Amino acid sequence: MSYAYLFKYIIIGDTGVGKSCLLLQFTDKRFQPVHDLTIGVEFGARMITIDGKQIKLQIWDTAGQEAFRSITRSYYRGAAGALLVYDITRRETFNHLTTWLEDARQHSNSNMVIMLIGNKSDLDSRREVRREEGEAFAREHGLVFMETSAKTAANVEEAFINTAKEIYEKIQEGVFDINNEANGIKIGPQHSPTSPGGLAGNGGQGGAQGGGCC
Amino acid sequence: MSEMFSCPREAVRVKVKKCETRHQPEYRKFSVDPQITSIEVLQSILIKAFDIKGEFTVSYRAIDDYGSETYLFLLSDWDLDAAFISASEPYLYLQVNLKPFGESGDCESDWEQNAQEVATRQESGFPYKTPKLPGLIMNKMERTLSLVQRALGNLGEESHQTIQPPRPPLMDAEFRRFLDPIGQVIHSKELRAVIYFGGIEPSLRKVVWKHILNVYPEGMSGRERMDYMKRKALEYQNLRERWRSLVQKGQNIGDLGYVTGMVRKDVLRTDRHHKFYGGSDDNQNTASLFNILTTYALNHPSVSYCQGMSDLASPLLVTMRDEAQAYICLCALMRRLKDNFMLDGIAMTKKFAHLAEGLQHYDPDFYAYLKSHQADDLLFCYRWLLLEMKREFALEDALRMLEVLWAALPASPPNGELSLAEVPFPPASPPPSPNVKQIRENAYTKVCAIRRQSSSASIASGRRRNLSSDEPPLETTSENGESKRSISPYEAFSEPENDLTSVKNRKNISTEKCLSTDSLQSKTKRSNLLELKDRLTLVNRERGDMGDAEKKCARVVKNLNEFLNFTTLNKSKVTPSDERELRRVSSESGVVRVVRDETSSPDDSTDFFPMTTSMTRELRLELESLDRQVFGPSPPSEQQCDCILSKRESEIAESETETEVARCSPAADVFVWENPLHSLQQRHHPATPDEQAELEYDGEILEDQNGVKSVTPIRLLKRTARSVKSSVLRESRNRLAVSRTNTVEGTISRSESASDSEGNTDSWHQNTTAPDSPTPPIQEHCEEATELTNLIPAGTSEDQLGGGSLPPPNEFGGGNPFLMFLCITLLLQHRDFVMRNQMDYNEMAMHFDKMVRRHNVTRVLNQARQLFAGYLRRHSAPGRPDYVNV
Repeated sequence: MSYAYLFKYIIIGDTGVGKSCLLLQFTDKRFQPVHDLTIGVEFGARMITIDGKQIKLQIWDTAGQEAFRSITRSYYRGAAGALLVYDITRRETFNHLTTWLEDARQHSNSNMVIMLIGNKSDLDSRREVRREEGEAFAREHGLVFMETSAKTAANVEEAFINTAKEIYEKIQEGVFDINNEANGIKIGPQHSPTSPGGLAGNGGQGGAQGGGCC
Repeated sequence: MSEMFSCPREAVRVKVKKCETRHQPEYRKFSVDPQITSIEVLQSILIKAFDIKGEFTVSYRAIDDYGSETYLFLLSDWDLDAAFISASEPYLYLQVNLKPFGESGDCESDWEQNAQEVATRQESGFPYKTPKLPGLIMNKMERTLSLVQRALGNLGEESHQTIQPPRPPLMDAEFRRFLDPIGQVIHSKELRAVIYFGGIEPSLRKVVWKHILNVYPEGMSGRERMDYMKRKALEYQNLRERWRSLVQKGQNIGDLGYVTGMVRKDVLRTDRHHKFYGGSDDNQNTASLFNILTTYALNHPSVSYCQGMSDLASPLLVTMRDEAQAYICLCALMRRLKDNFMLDGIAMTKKFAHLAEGLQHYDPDFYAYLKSHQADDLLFCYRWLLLEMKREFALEDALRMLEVLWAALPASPPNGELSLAEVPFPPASPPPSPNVKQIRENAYTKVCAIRRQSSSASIASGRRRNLSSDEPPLETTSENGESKRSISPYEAFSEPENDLTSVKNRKNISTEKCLSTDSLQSKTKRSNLLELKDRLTLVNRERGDMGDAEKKCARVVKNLNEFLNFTTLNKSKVTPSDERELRRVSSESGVVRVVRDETSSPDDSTDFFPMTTSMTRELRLELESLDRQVFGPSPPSEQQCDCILSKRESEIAESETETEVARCSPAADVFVWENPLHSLQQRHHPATPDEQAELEYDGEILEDQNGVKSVTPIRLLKRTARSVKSSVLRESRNRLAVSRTNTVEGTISRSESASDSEGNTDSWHQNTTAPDSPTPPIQEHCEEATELTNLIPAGTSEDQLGGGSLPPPNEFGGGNPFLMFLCITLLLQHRDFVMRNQMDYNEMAMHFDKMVRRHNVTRVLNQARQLFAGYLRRHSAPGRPDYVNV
């Protein structure tokens, strides 16, 4: 299918916070209470529309256990966006956010958009992390924040799409070098230089370095 | 074989003779259509024709290479094809023997003078192992195989694909024939071969899995096995009670808390769709799985718990239906697989490298395609490799696949009893695991990051690192220098060691076989380390007089980096012994390090789950600077090591293209460690004299058979065998560089003799194989060489077949070559689809993710077996294969 842009996402966070369920809810619009535990990385994709343009999201759903973090790290590099997920019913998954964030910042390109997600908002009765805490953390670290429920699908679309919007804006602002695939952005096959209006850089596909990005 | 493609015959006339003890032979004639007649169809025709009630065997008459008649068994569709192709003019002569594995009928007739011979074969339970037949069978098989293979090469339309396994599953009656009157397993290699081709009848799995998983020490009678299992089950229960009582006392903290938390979360999503684990979360089987994994993790601190283990344990529990037995099986399985979970990542890195190499070998076009999509890191195969394909098939199918895969490995019974605990939990001293994890992760991280980074970017592609420009300069050091150095430290590493140690380490790599003595020894070593409760002692040991630990610790890093560069740049022909050494040491040093870390920051122990900041920083440091001394100041011994290194370097420089040697002749690697392995495995005898004799024996034979071609390698081999000292190894390496002009034959004979020496260590092997060794006909080598081409999918150029350019079986895939062929098979079976749809990395990965539990097990196994057969023919002596009888 044709698309104007392709964005790569990565979903990260402790094991069992619902990363795979978020992905499944977003790509398949369903919730699977019993899901295989992710080994290494699993993959998903979906087309969305922003500003009238088709955008393909390629999503890498990573395993939460540290043993696989090596792989996770290597995938940061090619990602334009990251969903950093914790479980509002498990305080420790929130406590580990700093580590994750540090990891993400260190291994990704500096412009990667990171969305902080407090998942399992449907389990409000078992909540251990207040919404305000999530908001504060996000504010402190310059992240976008949202509470979601992969189970009820609450905010799931929004989480993915808002992240895409932010990436899209960054492109418009010329922050992203769209010709460097390492930024996790690709221009669609038939949308080479001219079609997306107002792009900085505006380099062709021949590999000319675009502007904005350092 | 080509006749068959060009003008397929419509009918084959068959003459059958039925032999039965104390009965007159009976004859029948009929015709069959070779296009539609499978072995099963033929069998049912025969049953009807003779009104056969019991079991029987079918063999067919063939003319062997010497022009004399011989009878070959018809066991599979492959055999039947071979019979149709090569022995059906003007008639296909079949002989049906009732009472197959007992004494055969005493029918004699002109056209089956060899019937008696066939019959005697049967006593061994499996007909492949005979002085004269194997070569023949191999030849016929080969032809059939190449036929199929060709079809596969042209695949796309999968019409030619057989969808039946080559053999029915092993049944109870048949299994009993592999047992002697007191229940000892005899002919365990043949048993494995039968399972490899047909799997095991599900109801029999509970019994037979324990054999092929190497649960039992060698030579146990049935009664001894029962006692053994009872004892082991009790041992398990004790281990389990120890942590359970702590949990009950509410001391579910620290290591215990971490492990139980992780495991609980994961068992609740392991095979829950399967009825065995289905239903509510308090399903008893899920609870059992939890107990098994928790017990394992706590009692194996060097491994602990890693995601993926639940997938490995699940089929064991499904099959054993008993927690203790499943635990015992898991311990046996993990002897071979725990390296996959080591955070140093070496085992996995190597498997990835081998897989890439294998794919490149069998399907260069697809490999090029992957490369053009930066997918040649093959990381989407991670799950395949880590779980040994378990999740790629529906659980029931996975059971079949697993038993076939296990049977494809050489037997490796534990030396003495199977150990159920590395360090019994709770350890006497505070558990070191939190920091161990960090250390391990650190190392592991590097491996995978580098693999990802380097595969498309650097391996063999002129190091285009365009995509990773924002990465720390991991590989930016002089690559030539690196790759050369990378060879040297390994050798240097093992050099100073005494024979036993280095032998031990070499041995460990090769295949799981090794694990027996080594795991015991290294275990002792490790537990000794841990049981030195006094940390100061450890610290002293680390820093001071014992020096060794620290030396290793420091060098681990160095070697790791070099290893990584080497593997990624040179596609991993690392001398396994040294790599093993490295691994073992790295886990040891992890422990040692931990102690030091704990001393410095005791608070870490409470928060062990994610990496700590300091760890991340350390990683960054390493990534950025390739500083090999990250783990602290280098002790004096380091210098020594460097001396050796530089010495080695110059030596390597002398032998011109050392790296190339490593690349072209994998046998060189076998050679380096195989003989020491052999010498250790002869555990009843002091190593050297015995081994020497055997090797000389082999050498002579090969010289007789192959003449000049194999002389050099054999001599080298003998030499190596005589003195295990690595100085000689080194020397012979250089000599190898000289002698590597030996092409295919040379390589084959080298690995042949090496692997043979390995194989001989098993008593049954000696019995059944020794007679074979004198007569591998020369023609077979030639035919192999010529027919080799037929085994390669279309589009593979001749030179890619090179002198056995894939690593030998005991190295390939980390000693599990069949796993490589399963993976390659999956890739081959989907390559057309992937390429036709111009899938990018993500789409490809999604495609394979969608195929989870959906692959057709029979189809995959058949094709993998075919590939494997072709590969083994290149790497093993005909009639003396070390892995399975093909």
